[in-house]
Amino acid sequence: MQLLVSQLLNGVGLGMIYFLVAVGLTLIFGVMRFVNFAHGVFYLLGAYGVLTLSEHGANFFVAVVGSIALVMIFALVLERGVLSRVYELPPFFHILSTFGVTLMVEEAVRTFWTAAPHRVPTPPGFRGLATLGPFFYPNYRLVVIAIAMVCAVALWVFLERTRYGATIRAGAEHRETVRLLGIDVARLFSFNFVLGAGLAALAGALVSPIRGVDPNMGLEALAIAFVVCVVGGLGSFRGALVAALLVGIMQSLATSLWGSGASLVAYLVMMLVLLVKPQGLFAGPGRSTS
Amino acid sequence: MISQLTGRFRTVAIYILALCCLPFAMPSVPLATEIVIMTLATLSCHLLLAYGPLLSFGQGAFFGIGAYIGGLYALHVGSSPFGGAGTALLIGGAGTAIAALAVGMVALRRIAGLGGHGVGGVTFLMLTFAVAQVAYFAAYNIPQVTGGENGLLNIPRLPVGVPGLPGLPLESAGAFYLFCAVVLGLVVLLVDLFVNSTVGQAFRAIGENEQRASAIGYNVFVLRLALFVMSGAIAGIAGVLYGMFLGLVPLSAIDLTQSERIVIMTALGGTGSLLGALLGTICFVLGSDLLSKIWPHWPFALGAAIVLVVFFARGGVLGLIENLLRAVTGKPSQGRSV
Repeated sequence: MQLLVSQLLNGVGLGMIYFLVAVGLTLIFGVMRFVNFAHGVFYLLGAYGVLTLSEHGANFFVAVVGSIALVMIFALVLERGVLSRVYELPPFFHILSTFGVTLMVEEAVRTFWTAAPHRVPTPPGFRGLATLGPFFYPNYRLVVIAIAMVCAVALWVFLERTRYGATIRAGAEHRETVRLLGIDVARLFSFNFVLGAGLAALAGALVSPIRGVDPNMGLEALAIAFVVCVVGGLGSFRGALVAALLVGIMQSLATSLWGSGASLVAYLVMMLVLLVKPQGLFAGPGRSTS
Repeated sequence: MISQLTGRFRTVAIYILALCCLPFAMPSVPLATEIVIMTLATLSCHLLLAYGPLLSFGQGAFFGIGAYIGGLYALHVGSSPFGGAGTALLIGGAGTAIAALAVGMVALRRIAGLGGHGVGGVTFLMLTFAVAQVAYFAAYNIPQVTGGENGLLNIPRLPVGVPGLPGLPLESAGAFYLFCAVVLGLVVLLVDLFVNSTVGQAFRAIGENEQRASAIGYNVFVLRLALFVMSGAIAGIAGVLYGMFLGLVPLSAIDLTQSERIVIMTALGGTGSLLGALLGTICFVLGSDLLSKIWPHWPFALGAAIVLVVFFARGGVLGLIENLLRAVTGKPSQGRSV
C-alpha cells in the first residue's frame, strides 16, 4: 500500500513535469503553427541553470527563478533573432532550424559543463519525509507537485479568464482574424514562445534535484512531450494535462513492476491509445487542417 | 540543369558515374563504402519527404532493425547453404518492411486527413520520433538478442552467390565496396522507376493537395503506407550492409542520433531530386570525418550548418549546385520547386 501510494504520487509528479514541458510545445504550435524542436533545450538549460546558480551559493528557489529568467531571455533572443524569420516557411524548415539550434545548444552544454552527468543537491529544509496519514513521501517531491499544480491552474486561469489569454486562444483558432483585428501578432508570438520556454525551464529546474542533469535530458523530455502531444492532440490544454498525467502515472506504476523497461511504457501507452482511438484522446483546435 | 545531360535515366546515370568515382575521390575505400551505405539510409528519408510529403524522424529505427536482423542472420544461419549476403539483404529488408507496415498502420491512421504540410505532418514527425525512442529502448532492454550496450559482435561478412556454388568473398574492402555500390545502384534504379511511374505521379497529387487527391479517388492512406513500407525496407537494407561493414552492430546503430543523422543528411542534400540524398550524405560523412579529427565539439558546427541551410540554401547542396550551374550558363530555372 505504501508502495502503491508512493508510485501514484511519483506518477502525478512525473506527469505534472511532462505537462509543463508539453503544454509549452502545444501552446507554441497551437498559436503559431510553429514546430519547436528546440523545446527540450529550454528544459535542459533550466536544469543546468539551477546547477550552476546553486553551485555559486544561490538559495535553491532563487536559483530556480534565476534560471527560468535566464532561459526566457535566451528564448526571446532566439525567437526574435532567428526563429521569427522562419515562421513563414513550410514546417519542414521550422523543424530543421530548431533542430540545428538544439544541436548547437547541446554541444555548447557539453563544452561548458562536460558530457558527464551532475548531481543537484535537494534544497535543505525539504530533504526529509512527510507523513500523509499512514503514508510517507519525500518532502521535495510534494513541493514539486504543488508548484507544478499551482502553475497549471495559474496558466489555465490566464488562458481562460484574462484578455491576453483570450487573444492567445483566438490566435490558435484563427490567426488571420486576430491579425485583422489589429492585434500585434509578432508580439503575441514572442510572448507565447517565451511563456512556453519558461514553463519548460521550470520543469527542468524542478526535476534537477530528483534526476540530476545530463546533456541528453533535453531530447528525452522532448520525446515524452511529443508522446503527450500525439496522445492528447496538438494545441489542446486539456489533452496535454490528461495525456501527461496518464503517461506519468503509467510509467511510474510500471517502474515497480518492470524496472528497466519503464522507459518504454510511455511509448506503449501511446501505441495503445492510438490503437483504440486513432485520432488521439482529444481533438484540439488543431483538427482543422491549415 | 543537370536534367538535360542524359534524358530519361539521368539520375541513375549520374549515380552510377558517382559510384565509379567515389572510391578514388575519397580519402579511403571504407569511407566511400560508408557513404554508399548511408546514402541508402538517406534515400529512405528523402523518399518520404519528397513524395509523402512527410518528415520521418524514425528512419534510424528501421536502419537499426535491419542491422540487427542481418547480423542475427549472419551469426545463426550464415554457415548454412542458404547463408549469403544477398539473402541477408532480402531477409533484413523484408523484416524491416513488416516493422514499417506495423508502424505505418498506426502512424498514418493517426494523421489521416490532417494534411502532410500541417498538423498531420507534425504529428507524424512526433510519432516517428517516438518510434525511434521505442526501438532504442527495446534494443537496450533485450541484450539476449541484441547484445545490449556491447552491441551484436563478431558478425561474419557472408560471401555473395547462388546457393550450392562457392560464393564470392566480400572480405576485401574493394569487393565490399563494389557489392554495396551494386545494391545502391539497383535501389536507385527501382526507386527512379517507381517515382516516374503512374503510381509515382499520384504522390505528386497528394503532395500538392491531399484533399483534392483523395477526392479524385486516390486512397491516400494506402499510397502513403506503401511509400512508408518501401522506405522502411530501404533503410533496413542499409542497416544490413552497415552491420556487415563494421562486423558488428553497435547500440548506436539504432539510437536517436542515428535518426538525426539521416534527417541531417536528407536536409543537407535537398529534396529536389534523388541526387540530393547522395550529395547530402557525401557532405555529412566527409565533413564529419574531417572535422571530428580537428575539433571535438564539431556537432556545434553541424547545428550551425543546418541553420545556415534554412536561411541561405533551402534547396540543400543540390539547390546550391543548380543555382551555380544556372549562373554559369545563364539559363533560367528548370522550375523544380524544393
